[in-house]
Amino acid sequence: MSESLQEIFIQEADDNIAFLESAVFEMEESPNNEKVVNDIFRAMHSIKGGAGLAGFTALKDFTHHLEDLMEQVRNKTKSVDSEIISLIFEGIDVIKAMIENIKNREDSTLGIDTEQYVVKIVALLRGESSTVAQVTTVSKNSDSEQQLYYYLDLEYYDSIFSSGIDTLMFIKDLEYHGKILKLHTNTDGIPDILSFDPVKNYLTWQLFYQTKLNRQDLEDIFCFVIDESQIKFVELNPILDNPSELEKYLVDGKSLVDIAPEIFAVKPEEKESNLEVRLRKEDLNQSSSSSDPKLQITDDDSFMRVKTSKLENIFNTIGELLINQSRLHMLVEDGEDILDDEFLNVSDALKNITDLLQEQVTGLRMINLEGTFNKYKRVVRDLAISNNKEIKLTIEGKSTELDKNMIEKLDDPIKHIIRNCVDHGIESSEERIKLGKNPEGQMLLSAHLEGGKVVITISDNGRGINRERLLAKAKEKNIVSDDARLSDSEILNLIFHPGLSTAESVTDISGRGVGMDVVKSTINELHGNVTVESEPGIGTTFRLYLPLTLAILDGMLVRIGREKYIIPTLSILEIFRPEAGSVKTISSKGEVVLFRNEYIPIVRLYKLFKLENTETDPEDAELIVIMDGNKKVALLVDFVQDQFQVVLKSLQKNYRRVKFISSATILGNGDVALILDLQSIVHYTIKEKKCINNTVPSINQI
Amino acid sequence: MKTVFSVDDSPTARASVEYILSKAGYSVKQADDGSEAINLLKAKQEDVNLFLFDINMPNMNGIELTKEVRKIPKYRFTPILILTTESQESKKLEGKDAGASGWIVKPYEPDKLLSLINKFVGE
Repeated sequence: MSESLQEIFIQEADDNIAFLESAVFEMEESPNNEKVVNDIFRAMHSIKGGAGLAGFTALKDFTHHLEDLMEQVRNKTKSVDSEIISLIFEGIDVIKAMIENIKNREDSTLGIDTEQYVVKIVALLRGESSTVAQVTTVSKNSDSEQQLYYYLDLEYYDSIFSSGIDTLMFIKDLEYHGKILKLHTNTDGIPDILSFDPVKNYLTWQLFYQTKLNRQDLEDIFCFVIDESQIKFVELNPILDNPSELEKYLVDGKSLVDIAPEIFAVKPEEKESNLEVRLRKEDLNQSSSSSDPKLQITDDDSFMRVKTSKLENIFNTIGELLINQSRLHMLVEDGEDILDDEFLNVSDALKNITDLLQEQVTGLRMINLEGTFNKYKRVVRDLAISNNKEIKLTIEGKSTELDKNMIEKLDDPIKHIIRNCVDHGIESSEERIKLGKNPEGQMLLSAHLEGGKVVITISDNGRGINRERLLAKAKEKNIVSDDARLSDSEILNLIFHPGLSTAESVTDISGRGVGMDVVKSTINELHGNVTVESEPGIGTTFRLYLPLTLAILDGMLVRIGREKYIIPTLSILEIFRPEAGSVKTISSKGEVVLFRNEYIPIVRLYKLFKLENTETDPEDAELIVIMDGNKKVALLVDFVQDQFQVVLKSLQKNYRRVKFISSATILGNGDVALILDLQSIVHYTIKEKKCINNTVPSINQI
Repeated sequence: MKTVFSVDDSPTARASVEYILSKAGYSVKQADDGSEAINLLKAKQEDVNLFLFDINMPNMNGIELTKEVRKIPKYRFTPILILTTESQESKKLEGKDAGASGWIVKPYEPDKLLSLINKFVGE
């Protein structure tokens, strides 16, 4: 048994024991609280299961007795009294002592008389008082010589095959230990062919079973899958006076599904109260009646703290694995005709497993925005007070999940935008009353998923951005030339320009003109995009568009001559082939193309990268319209070659900074593709076209 | 409603394209043979927002079909995507010369196909 598994078990067991101790106190105070009882039962069950998996048989067997006791409490066969409570506490002490031994790498039972304790429990379970218990050896199989009848409902979790488990194995196992009287395979769960996933399990089984195994032994057959599956056992002996009558039900050609209700109709109450053992976590959780937060901590398996750097390493390694896997996949596909089927199957399986692994590890890094968003309530409140304003902040979509690293990096930008809204956006109460607005200003902070990306919206119903003042200031600072004619979105976009702020007063938080440009470059570094919309007198809305994770990028692979580049999909608005006459050259803007009633600049990427033998006629090329802030440009490429999820590799770390390139990736065939740095391309283009002068160097210019 | 015209000789592939795209709100027109498609397009001159061709088809392959479609003035600038399983470089360049806008590698995830098509058709 692997050492790490044992370590995990010990860590988990410590958590479970700590939980048990407080929960048992709770049970003593409110013995009728079903949730507490269920939670205690489950914690014991986890310790037992974990001990079994980690190879600590003595501990597993011991905890089993404790679990039996709790089982009776749960079924209300035994009511909670001080005797039971002290017995459970005693039992927990024994478990603690055994785990202590395990930690010291001793035999778990060293110096502990578990037998004495077991005897007490067994006596109690038999209805005797523990004080008069006789020392008897408890044999697991003592009363199992009798033939027992069961109804089993096997519903495995749908991803069971990915755990390498063959569901038929259980049927074979059951056959070995007894006799399957009738088996029904339920195929109703199989979806139509288009949504069918060949590596998912869609089948469930119901069966009547005759065996000498007791319920615990039966449960043990399923011990590896029981936690995530819905496996139900119903013991038929108490229901049917004469279980062999079962035969009567089985001969007349009815399906098992039809028979089951008939049989269970015999004594339904009994079935509800103590015959059905449900082992599905959700059910245990749902049956809770109390909502004590203290107990909810352990609703799921206990947590384990892991260093982020360790996760990073796993992520990087999986990145490498992905690359090599897809190289292998390509090689196999090229050699499809000469390789035998098994080779192809293995390659396909490897691909699926790698994808699954990547998905799961990505999931590890995802946390919801609740903590972050709640923090801003305080920020808004404090800022409102110091600005002498009344502001109500509404928060939506807190449960949206994002990469943990991303959330950390978003903190400053979001805070900055919020400060801007409070400082400059929302008017004072007096001003709002004069304008006929509600004296209380409204702010919205929301997050939602939109086509594979997360959109965070920060908006206010304040005065909106003053275009004239913004433009005047830009001209004054020589950021825009005096005769420049800018579109509305270009003017709004000036707020992201380094060195511009419209605030007349300089507060200690925002308004120094540093900030919005940093917001933008931070979002760009995250391969996201920020836009602003504003209506005078009505309000301003900032939207942050972000990928779900930092390490993987959704990218469109484009070809320019023989070179391959990746454009982040998030920033692509549309791809089109310009119709004859829609490309023009305008003196102030250079080469532009008509796109949705707007002329936008064309960037000939082959010129930027000095490439030869490329498509030069826009009418035979594809124009990819990308958006950076509010600025749009059309990138001219030869053609589009599919869309990928790529693992990012830093060029700076592996090579050096390259102009117009943000990072690199390795493609399936081993080729390196460069990922375009859209921000610097747009920046360069607009500067080139002499539309906006750039007096302050951007951090992205090299 | 935006229209996607797909040509594929495999009924399964046609069914899957039909399913994915119609669910996403596209109107899907289909043909199982290149020359049949060309005749249909020439005769009806219907509005099409995007073409989706399989590369390997009997009679007329996806690249030849692209070449023919580009000759119809109405479809001179309509996006054409070719579905392929091949990683061969030469085919890609051949497709480009025929006038294809881009490639999608099979097998594809429905989401990927849709997201790529959306970008070309414009949301």
